[in-house]
Amino acid sequence: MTLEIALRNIEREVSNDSVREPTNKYIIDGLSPKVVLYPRDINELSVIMKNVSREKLSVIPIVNGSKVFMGNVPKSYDVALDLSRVHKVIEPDPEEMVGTYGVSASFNETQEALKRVGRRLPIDPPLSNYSSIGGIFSCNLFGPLTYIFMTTRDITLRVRAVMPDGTIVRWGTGMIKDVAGYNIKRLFIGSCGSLGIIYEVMSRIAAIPDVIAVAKVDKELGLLITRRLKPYGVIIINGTMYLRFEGIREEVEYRLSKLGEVSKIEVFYGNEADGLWYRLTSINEIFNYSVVLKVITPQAKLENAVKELPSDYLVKMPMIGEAYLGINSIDINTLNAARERINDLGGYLVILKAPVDIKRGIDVWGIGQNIDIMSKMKSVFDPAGIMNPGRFVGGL
Amino acid sequence: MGITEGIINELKRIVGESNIITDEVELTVYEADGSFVYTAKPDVVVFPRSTEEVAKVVRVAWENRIPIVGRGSGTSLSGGALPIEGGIVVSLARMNRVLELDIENETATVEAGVINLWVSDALAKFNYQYPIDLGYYFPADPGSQRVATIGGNISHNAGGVKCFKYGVTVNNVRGLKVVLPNGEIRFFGGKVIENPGYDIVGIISGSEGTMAIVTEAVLRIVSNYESVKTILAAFNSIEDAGTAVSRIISTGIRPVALEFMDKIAVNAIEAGPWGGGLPTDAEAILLIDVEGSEPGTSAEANRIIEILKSSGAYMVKLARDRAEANKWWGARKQAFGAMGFVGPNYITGDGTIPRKKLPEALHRIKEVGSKYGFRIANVFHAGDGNLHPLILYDERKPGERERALQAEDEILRMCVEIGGTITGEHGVGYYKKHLIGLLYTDYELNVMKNIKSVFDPLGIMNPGKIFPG
Repeated sequence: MTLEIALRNIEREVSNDSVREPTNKYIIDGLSPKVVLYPRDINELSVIMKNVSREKLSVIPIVNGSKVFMGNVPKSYDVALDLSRVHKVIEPDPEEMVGTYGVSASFNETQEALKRVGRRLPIDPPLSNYSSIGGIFSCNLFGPLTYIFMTTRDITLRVRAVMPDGTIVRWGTGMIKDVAGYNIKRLFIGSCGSLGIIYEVMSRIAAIPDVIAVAKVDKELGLLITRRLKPYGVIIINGTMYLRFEGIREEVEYRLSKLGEVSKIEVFYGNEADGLWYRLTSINEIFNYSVVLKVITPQAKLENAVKELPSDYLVKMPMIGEAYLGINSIDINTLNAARERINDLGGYLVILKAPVDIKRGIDVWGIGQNIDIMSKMKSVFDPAGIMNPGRFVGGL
Repeated sequence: MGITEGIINELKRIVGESNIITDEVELTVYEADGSFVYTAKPDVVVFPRSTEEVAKVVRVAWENRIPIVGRGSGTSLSGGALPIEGGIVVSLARMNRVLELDIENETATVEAGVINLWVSDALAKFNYQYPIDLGYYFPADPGSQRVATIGGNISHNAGGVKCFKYGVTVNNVRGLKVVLPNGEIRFFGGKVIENPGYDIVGIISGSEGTMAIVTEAVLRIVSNYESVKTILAAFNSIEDAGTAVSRIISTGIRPVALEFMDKIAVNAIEAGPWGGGLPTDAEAILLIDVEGSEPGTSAEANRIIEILKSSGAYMVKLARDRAEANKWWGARKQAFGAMGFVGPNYITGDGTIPRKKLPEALHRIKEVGSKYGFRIANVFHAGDGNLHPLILYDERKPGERERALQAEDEILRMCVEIGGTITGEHGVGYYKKHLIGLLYTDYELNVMKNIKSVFDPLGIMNPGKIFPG
């Protein structure tokens, strides 16, 4: 009944095609929404949120849907909020070294637009070639370049969002240095749509360097030796190690020569290197496995953390202390034991993807502390608990 | 409830007789911060030596509804450490131990009262002991790093000259141990690069002591490079210096530091004992660091020198060695203190502006100076747009301090007008809280206040800061 009331009100204020029937794209953990809402612009998004919150309908925001497997099983799922056309604008400001992007813009489109002005978004998250800006920033996804350029959350300068009650807000001013008021934008980045709907982000960008080189190494180098080589990023896929170097020609050649002293290398340059790097760091193949785990540890503990875990596909990012494991099957007891061991190392085991029966028996995020404070924080933004209910940490 | 003799005795029992101040004269030391614009005296100052002692003190405050103000070295420039409503000042000055240097995991764990520079000093002892690293340091380096504490840096989310490459304080904090207003001890984050869940470390950093008292921090440390090159350039025009900055950044070179100073600032520094041989006839100077391998930095420095020359620099100098570079940087880091040589008092402004608006901003600052009859020096973190106009005034002249504050107010409003913000690294604190409405709506400010209430439902943590009213 409440759904009908909300839809009646929404249909009066939004365009004809903004209310749709659910399709397979919107199925999450076997659950299908009652309706798909497909706002044309920010005003429609605001109207939709005002009405669904008034009727306390549960909402799951989706852009491309490339990461719908992430998170706990939803507690309820009334509305799939499809954001794929709400805001696609990409505005680089090459002089200020910042870029502004709508939530619907794809990562690839964004990189292309930035490249036209000699700039880039210096992040290399998993599934980058399938992802939207909204998906990447709302989940704070990043890859090996983080070691140099910091996390997606760190480079975010401003977030524009629609609150669950439909109010349009702005967090942050867009300055690199800005300590006026609380840093709410940091809460939104990584909140996986549980606080409100991000519709636009502004972030730092970087110039395209003179030289990009990716070196393929014939063995896995140890962490300390790798660090000493000063790469921009390192990824190891099923035992094959790749190091990325950037900068002025002399700098890159020096680093490669040092790498050559400790290993045989095959080097790729320029567009070939950049293309290779994004294919590697996108790690699309791993998401074909039925279970995907993400291990986060202090850097020097990573090897210890992953060595006893089963994996059919293993990606390590040693400089940032993270690994992704693709597994055909695993049981909850093994997961729980591994999680306990990794927690003891000061890390986390996050279940990124798993069959619903496994997810139902475990909190996929794997944090046990400070849930009480996080729950109260969520209530500040989402008092009715309608945003992505149950899917975030501790079932928030 | 006021602070009774019984409460004082309880605090003495917690921290010991020698770690508490109640004497009226001694309390005056704690009535001001680094800005010396306003004063507010606390009822009592305590010097706990452990997180557990902080927790017990805070619990007493909670039970008796007494305001609590955390304090490091008191170098805040926004009135952040002023006990506006009296109450208990919790000085972290005696919690000053570097607890762990974890080179393998690139973190340092320190107590909140540790002076910023001590972290890098402690790390320097390890340099070159490992044959495969080049030593480490803590990259968040505010100008006050020789005196300011890590706790204060975190509370204000302090910046520094290396922010363009390494980010501000929050980007260099991995974990926090805090005491909540009810006396509960909590740990947020860890040694890892990310933590599932909401970014509590990020929301506490920069909250200016209004949510909790930070007692320990896990910091990100970064490795040195083989070579650092420092370049000094002098310009006859501010616009040319601004253009040079944009052109350098556009090349893809990522300078570690890119600092701008105007003529008044340079002359003030060179008038004092910290002079570094900076050119006093220039309208603007730039000080630039690049880091990398020896061949890499040589090539980058040459490229930057070419850009500087073609952008109109009439003098460009590459530091001969680290000693000369350190002299230049030592002079820059004394810029605020050096104002004492050219004026009895000064207010340190702290707006951030879009970098391309620098000429306009400096022009309008000059106009404000003329309007109020003040000389204004300018120090600018050119890489990140953080502008520090230093308004020179004489508080002995009646009404001058108030007019200087009005001048600062006008400058900060101008920063917002041209797309910037009222504070880049010093915090809103007490002085600028009336301006935060320029940036956020009432709805947005209410969300922030509600976040504060999650931590501090009784409103005892550093009351009277950030939010107007």
